[in-house]
Order: sequence, then structure tokens, then C-alpha cells
Amino acid sequence: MVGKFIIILSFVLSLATTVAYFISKDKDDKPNKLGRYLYLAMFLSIVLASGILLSNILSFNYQYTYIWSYSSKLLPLNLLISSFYAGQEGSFLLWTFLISSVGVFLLYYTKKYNFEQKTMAFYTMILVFLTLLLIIKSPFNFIWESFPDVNPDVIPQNGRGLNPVLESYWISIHPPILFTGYALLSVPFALAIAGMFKRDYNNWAILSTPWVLTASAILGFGIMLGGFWAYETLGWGGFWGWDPVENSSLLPWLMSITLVHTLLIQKRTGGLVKTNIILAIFGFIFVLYATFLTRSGVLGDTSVHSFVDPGQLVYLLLLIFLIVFTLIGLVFFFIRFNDMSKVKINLKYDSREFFITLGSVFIVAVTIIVFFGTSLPLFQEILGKPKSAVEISFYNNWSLPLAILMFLTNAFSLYLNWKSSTSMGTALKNSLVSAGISIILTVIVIIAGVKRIDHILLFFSSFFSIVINLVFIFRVGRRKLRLVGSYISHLGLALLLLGALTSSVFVSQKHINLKNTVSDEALGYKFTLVGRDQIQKNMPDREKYKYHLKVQGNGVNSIVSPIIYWSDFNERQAPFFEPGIKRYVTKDLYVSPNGITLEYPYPSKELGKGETYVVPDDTSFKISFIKFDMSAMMGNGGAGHANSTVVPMGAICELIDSNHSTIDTLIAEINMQNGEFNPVMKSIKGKSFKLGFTRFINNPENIALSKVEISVIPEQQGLAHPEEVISFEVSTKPFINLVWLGVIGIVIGLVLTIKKPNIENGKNINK
Amino acid sequence: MKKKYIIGAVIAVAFTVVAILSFDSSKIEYTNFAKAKATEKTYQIIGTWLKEKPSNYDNKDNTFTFYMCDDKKDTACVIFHGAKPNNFDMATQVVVKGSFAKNNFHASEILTKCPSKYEAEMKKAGS
Repeated sequence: MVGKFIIILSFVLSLATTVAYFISKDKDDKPNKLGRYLYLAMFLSIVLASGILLSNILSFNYQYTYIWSYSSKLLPLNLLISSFYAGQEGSFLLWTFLISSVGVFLLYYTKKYNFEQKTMAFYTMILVFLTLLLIIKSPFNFIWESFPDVNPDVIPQNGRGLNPVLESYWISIHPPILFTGYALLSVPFALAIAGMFKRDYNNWAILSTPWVLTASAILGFGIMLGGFWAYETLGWGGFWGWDPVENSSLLPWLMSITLVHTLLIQKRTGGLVKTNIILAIFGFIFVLYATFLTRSGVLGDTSVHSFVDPGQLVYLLLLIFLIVFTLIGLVFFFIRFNDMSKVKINLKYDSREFFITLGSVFIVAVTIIVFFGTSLPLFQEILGKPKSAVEISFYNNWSLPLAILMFLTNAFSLYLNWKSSTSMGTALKNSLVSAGISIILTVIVIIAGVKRIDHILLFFSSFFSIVINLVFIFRVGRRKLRLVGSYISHLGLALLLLGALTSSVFVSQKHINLKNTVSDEALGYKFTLVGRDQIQKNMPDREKYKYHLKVQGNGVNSIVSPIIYWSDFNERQAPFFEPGIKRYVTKDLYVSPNGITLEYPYPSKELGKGETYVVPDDTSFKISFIKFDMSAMMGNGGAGHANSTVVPMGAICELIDSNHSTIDTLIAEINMQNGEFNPVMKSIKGKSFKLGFTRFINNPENIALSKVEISVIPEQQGLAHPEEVISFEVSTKPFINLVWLGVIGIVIGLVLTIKKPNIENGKNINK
Repeated sequence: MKKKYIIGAVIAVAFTVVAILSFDSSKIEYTNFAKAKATEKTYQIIGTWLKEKPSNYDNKDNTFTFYMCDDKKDTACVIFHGAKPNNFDMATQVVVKGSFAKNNFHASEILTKCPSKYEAEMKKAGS
């Protein structure tokens, strides 16, 4: 009850804050001061609501539907805290909490630079929507409210727990960082709208710059942490899959990164006024769009990430949220369009600003490609056309040439000066040495076996970018270390894309099956399964093993340990897998388990129709497979089997002992519910072995071509348990470390570039 | 200035045209088995797994075979080139991406949609 009340209170307070800030006319007038107090009160109420949710999670209070749905007593503390935002309601609350926290800093920041009233008015409007969303999609619903036919006396003793796939330390860091990045992008939006409101088209841009840089760094880091999570724990094999959810987080980041460049141009030349406004608006709109895509269930059929339909009301509210803020942004933009067009700049081709603008155009082009690709299913549905989605290759085919252009633009722009004080010829001459080095490196790569022209061009352009940025890092870094940020970021980007190319295009992959203590060779390594250890034994809801694979060859002799586990979450119907990774400087050896099959440890053979198996220990005995007897399976067996879950399947065989032949049926009982396959052993008179139909090898192309596996088992033994055979995808991913190194470079470079805005208190600012 | 705008506009239009063209060619439609069977094109099909029919993971070929029923109640055998997805048993809905060859649907990708089991479980707990 208290939680719900506080959410409603924060909604009312945010509404009041917005109104107060709108009424305020002069700095520090009554409504302005009131607005500040109201904002802080609202912030405190959201902190309180978050605190209530967290304390209920920590005290295992499962009468709340939300906590019961995502939390459990078995979770360790860090995951218990993470279950705060494991579902929609909680992640909305986390987002609200982060936006309101960022708002506190923004309040004092804008107050200092005399930009407070309008900025905070629009900023708080975002919180009005979010708190409204929390009223409708409340994390504080009681079980008996969510499920009307449940008796209110029933308080669950434990929660359902987290999806085991999410149970890793990554869930503690990836979502909060990503959401902080999202929250920060609402700042340039609010500043841009306030700027248009005040007809001040310059200071908003200067004030936005540090926020945009911070947002780009944090959001970029957050996105990549998700990629690393997918690669390291989820075993998706790569760090990026162009999935709609991934794409939708990329869109705001691309806008933010573009804004980093175009804001710089406005600062240097006074131009790109309208561009910056529009980019700041779309940065935020794309955050809302990402929320809409991932939370509304519209992409349910097209993404590997899971969605739950949030209900019609939330869907509508999210849509209204998106439309309202798009309208606010665009309406202001068109009202002020002529006003903003007063500033004209002349972009000369041989100026640095021209090349940076060109680079920005390329980033926007990537954004457009990703936007349309991701939105296709949605657009088709709106247009009433058959639902469709684009192939992954669409994104790769477009981003590759655009990346090449970006690198060339970036590298070359560094030799040009602002306002074309260096001529094109000089710039070309200056970049000759770097171009030469890059050509040599590219030739080496070609000799090493790179053939496709687009790959060769990407290699060349990223080498070019890497060399030139390195040159500038040393040249400028000697004078002032703080100025090297942009070079480090661009160096990082080139390394990232190089790593992305090498680790995905030049990957070698093979499928192997391993039994305990048995070896197989793949990719020049010998893999031996040497045993397993149970881990997390104190957790009764799971059975988790580390499997140890000895890897030998290519100068390597070490152990890789992928994880396989069963969890109550899916009633232990199927195992979950985590890859094992052996990291080297130049490559990763990636061992990803993906299936477990049971096989009997006896001599056996797969037989097609008419094929014969000679028993190895008794060559006078042969088995010839004639056909299947599926009468019981197909329902012809009569009513006896109609309700039975265990159905017999027969393999009619000819058994030949020397010259004596009999026709007999070997039977296996199949449990139709869990797929268990139990052979019924057939003793052979006068022989020391018995026969079993131990496996059915289905041929889907033609059921008549399906095979049986016949095993020969010593007579005195009972049927032993079948042995586990584990299937692995093993692959080597060359230079994947460049990806992580590149991201770190991009982030560090952005952080280095953050500095205080260059505006004196109150000065320069018109009304 | 004028010339600059014209060049810019031409580039923008060219980009848009090429983007739309490539967009169209890399589009994969959602459809049903009947329509997918008629061509060799790649499609995505939404349906349910027929648990009563045989399914099998062949670890030698690394293929997972199962029967699936689409929303038109047509059934086809799906051969997925990979292991059985681990939440396959829980899925209420499967989406397969691939094309037909010799009466079987060869899938390169499977998406599984899992239900929220709260309702059922809560009813159990409450009764």
C-alpha cells in the first residue's frame, strides 16, 4: 500500500514541478524556488519507493507479485539486488530512479548556467510519464490483486526466482549502466527544447556537450558489456548479432556519437544549429523507441531476447509517451525553423569541419539503416503487409562500406585544419607516409589470405585510421595529454571493427562429440573430456557441472571448462550451457557445449533396411534389419496404447546363426512424454550375448530410410546406463581481444574529452 | 551554395534508393508452410512443436529434427542445423527461419517463445 501511495505521490509531485517551472519567469522567483523544492521532494519519493521495493526483496516478502515473480530466497545478495530490475515494473522504476537522480545534477548545473526553468520543466515532463507508467505497471501489486482467484491469506514462501540464464554477475552491471546512459540522453533533449523555447540556439549546445560525451561513454560501455555477456556466458558465439533489442540500444548511441561531432562543429564554426537540435531530439526519441520496442512486445516473434506482453494499457501509454515527445521536439523545431536558419556557415571542402560533417553523415546513414532494418516488422504490420524481418547480412553489407568511409574521413580530417587553413594538397602530402604504412600492412594481410575486396578495403582504412591516430596521440599527447581523447576513441573504433571482422569472418568452427576420457581432433587441437566437477552444490534448485576438456596441440596444453547444468526453472527438461573460453593474445579458443546424447557402451551398429551387422565377438552370428513395426506408435495397436505414455516400437530383424535363420522383433519402449528410450533386451539361445534395439535414427527426408542401432550386450550383464556423449561447437576467434580493447579505447577517449562547459555564470545567456 | 545542395540531394536520393532496394531483397517474410513449400525462398514460419511426433538430435550430423504445425494447421518436418535449443521443451511457440528442400523445412535459426507460467502456477498455489 505504502509503495503504491508513494508512486502516486511522486507522480503528483512531478506534475507540480513541471507546472511550477513553467510558471517561473525570472531566476530565483517564487515558482522557481518552489519548483526546486518540489523536484527534490519528488526525487526523494522515488528514492523511497525504490528503497521500499529493495527492502522487500531483501526481506523475501513474496506477497508482492513482482518480487515473487523474479526473486527467490536462494539467490545470493548481488542477484537478489539485481532481481529489482529483472522484470518490466522494476526496470521502469530503475529507469525512473536514474532519470530523477540525473535530474538533481541537472538542476544545479542549469541553475549555475542560468538555464534552469525551461530545461527542468521539460525534463520533469519525462518523469511525469514514467511515474504514470509506474502507477499502471506497479511493482507493488499484491499477489491477490494480480490473481483474483487466489485467496488473500496465501503468502508464497518462496519466489519463482530468476531465469538461470540471467544468473551471472553481468546482470548486476550491464542493465544499470545501460539505463544510466539512456537517462543521460534525456538531458540534451531537455536542453535543446529549452534552447528553442528561449530562442537561444548556442548555449544549449555548449551546455549539452559534457552530458552527450558522458552519455556516449556510458551507453557505449553498457552496450558492449551486453555483448561481452552474450559472448562470455550466454554462449551465443559472438558479441553482436544485429538482433532488434541490440539494435534498439545502438540507435540512441549512434545519435549521441553523431552529436559529439556536430556539437564540436557548432562550437568551432557556429554552424549546424538545426542539425544539433534535431540530433538531440532523436537521441532521446530513440531511447523511447528502444523502450517501446523492447517493452511493448511488438517484436515478440523476431528477437532472441524474451518479451512478455505488458498489456494493452502499457502498450498504449508507451506509444503515447513516444508520440508526445516526438511531437514536442518536432513542433518546436518547425516553429523555430526560420529563426534557427539565420546562421549560415560555408563548409569548404578542404576544411576539417567539412570532413567531420561528412563523417557525421556516415554515422547518420548507419543509424538510418539500423532504424529501418529493426523497424521493418513493425512497419509491415502498420501497412497491413505480411510480417517480415531483414536478414543479418543487410546490416553487415551496409555498415562495412560506411565504416570504410568513416575511417578514411576521420584519418584524412586530422591533416586538415578548421576553416580550411591547410590546403588539400598539403594534407594529402602529410598523410602519404601513413598511407604507405597502411598499404604495407594491408599487403601483409592479403598475403595472409584475405581475399574479398571489401575486407581488404576495411583493413586498409582501419590501418590508415589507426596509424594516423597513433601519430597524433604521440604528437599531441606530448604537449597535453588531455587533448588526445578523440584520437584514442577513433583508434578504439578502428580496433573494434578490425576485431569484429577478424573474429567473425575468419573464424574456424567445428562440431565434435566427446565421451568421458575419449578424444577427438578439431582445428588442429586434440580435445579430451577428462571429467567433471559439480559446482554450486549448496543450491538445491540446480545440478551444475564444470566439464573439463584437455586441449592439446598448436603449442597448447591446457584445460577448458564449459558448464552444463539442469535447473528447476524448466523442470530440468533440458540442460543449460555456458561456454568455456581459453584466452590468448591473438585469439580465443571457444568451446561451446550444445547437446547431450546418451549412448550405450557396447558394440553396436546403425542399420538401414536390408543391412547386416556381424557381431564382432561371434562372427558366425549376423543380424539383418528388415523393417520397423510402428503399429503401436501409429495408434493401430488398439485402445490399449491410446492412453499410454509408453509406446513400444519394433525393429523386425532376421537373425542368422551360421546357417540357421529366424525372424524376430527387437523392441524398444518409448516414453512419449519425456522421450526416454528403453530397449527391451533379447537373449539369444546358446549365446553369451543379448541384443538390443538401442537407438532409433530418424530420417526425416524419408521415414522408410530411418535406421536402427543394434547393440550387442554380454548376457550376464544387465543393461548398463547409457553414457553421456556431449556435443561441442569448438571455434577459434582470431583477434577478438581487439574488440574489447577497442571499446575500452572509445570509452576512455570519450571520458578524456569531457570538460566543463566554457560559459561564465549567467553571462552570454539571453533570456 | 546551390550546387552544394544539389550534390547533397542527389547523394541522399541515391542512398535512399539503394537502401530501399537492398532492403527489399534482404527481406524475409513470415509465412506458412504451404506458401514456403511453393518456392525455394527463405521464410520465417511461426508455429508449435508437435510433441507427439518423433523428434531427434543427431549428434553426428549436428541436426535436430522435429515436427511443427503452423497457424494454418499444416504440418512439416523441420530439420534444424544445430542442437536442440535449451528452452525448446518449454516453448509455447517456435519460429523457424529457412526454406524447403525435398518436403522438409531446413531451418538455419530457431526462436522459441516461452510462456509466463505465473498464472498456472499461482492457480496451483492458491487452490
